[in-house]
Amino acid sequence: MTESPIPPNDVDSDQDVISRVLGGDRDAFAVLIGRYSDPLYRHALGMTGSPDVAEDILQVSFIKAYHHLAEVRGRFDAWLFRIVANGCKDWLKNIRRTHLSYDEDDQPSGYATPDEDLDRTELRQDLDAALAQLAPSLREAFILKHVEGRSYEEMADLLGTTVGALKMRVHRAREALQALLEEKYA
Amino acid sequence: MMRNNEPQDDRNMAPRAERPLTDREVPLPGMAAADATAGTVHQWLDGEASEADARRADERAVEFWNQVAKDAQGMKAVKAPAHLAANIMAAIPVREPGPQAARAARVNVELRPDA
Repeated sequence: MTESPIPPNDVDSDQDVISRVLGGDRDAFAVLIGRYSDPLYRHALGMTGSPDVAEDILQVSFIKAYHHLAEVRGRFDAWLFRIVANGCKDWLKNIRRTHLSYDEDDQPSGYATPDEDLDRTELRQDLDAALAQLAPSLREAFILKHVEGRSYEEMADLLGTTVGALKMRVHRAREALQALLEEKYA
Repeated sequence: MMRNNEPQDDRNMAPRAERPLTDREVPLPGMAAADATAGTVHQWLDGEASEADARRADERAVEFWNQVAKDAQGMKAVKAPAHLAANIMAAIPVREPGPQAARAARVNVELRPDA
């Protein structure tokens, strides 16, 4: 993943770690959690807007990954990302079905930081609220591009779609956000 | 635009100038220029054009996206809660690393002479 480039000679590759876990070294799974929890948490937080929900999604996703570790084919980080991304989308579907509002219990209450004391500006809150109004596919694309700083090629790998389709989603997300926020940012 | 199967009568329609833009089928004058302007800003945001080019096209949009980028920077600093890893490790079973190991475990059992 973008944040965790792993020098091949310095640490075990994901596949090495997976082999250790499958061989019975359960504790080795903590290496994978440490490697990927931050970027995946940011993604889940951006998608759901709720630190508690993001944490739950990550916990369920990592447990699911552990149980299906032997089924990993190709890149582990992309496989794990898809589990988390699907968890986020399922949550968004459910929250729409139950008519809960972002203005209620799942309102972003402040992103967790190491010290849990991030002083969020009014504009940040406006950005969070505007992101919450985007369709999930647009929000996902915008977060991957502008919050996680990924390239379109990497996004295409993660989401299993084309660069062109992702560019279109990001452009539409930008236009929607600009329409929602321009007056506040002016 | 036909909204139903009833005959349309121009007398019942709003004057052209008052109709929503979405009902117009002909590009408005200046639309192509606006698209080009937005296109330059998107190119800059995608790393395909310089900020100077984008500023020439739409200074206000560049200021807007620079502000958004500052706010997004705060999101990039977010880390997973410290207790998350411990919670996950506590929730996974002590001995169930997947089907491959499960198969290996069965083989081990079968190979033991006293099994």
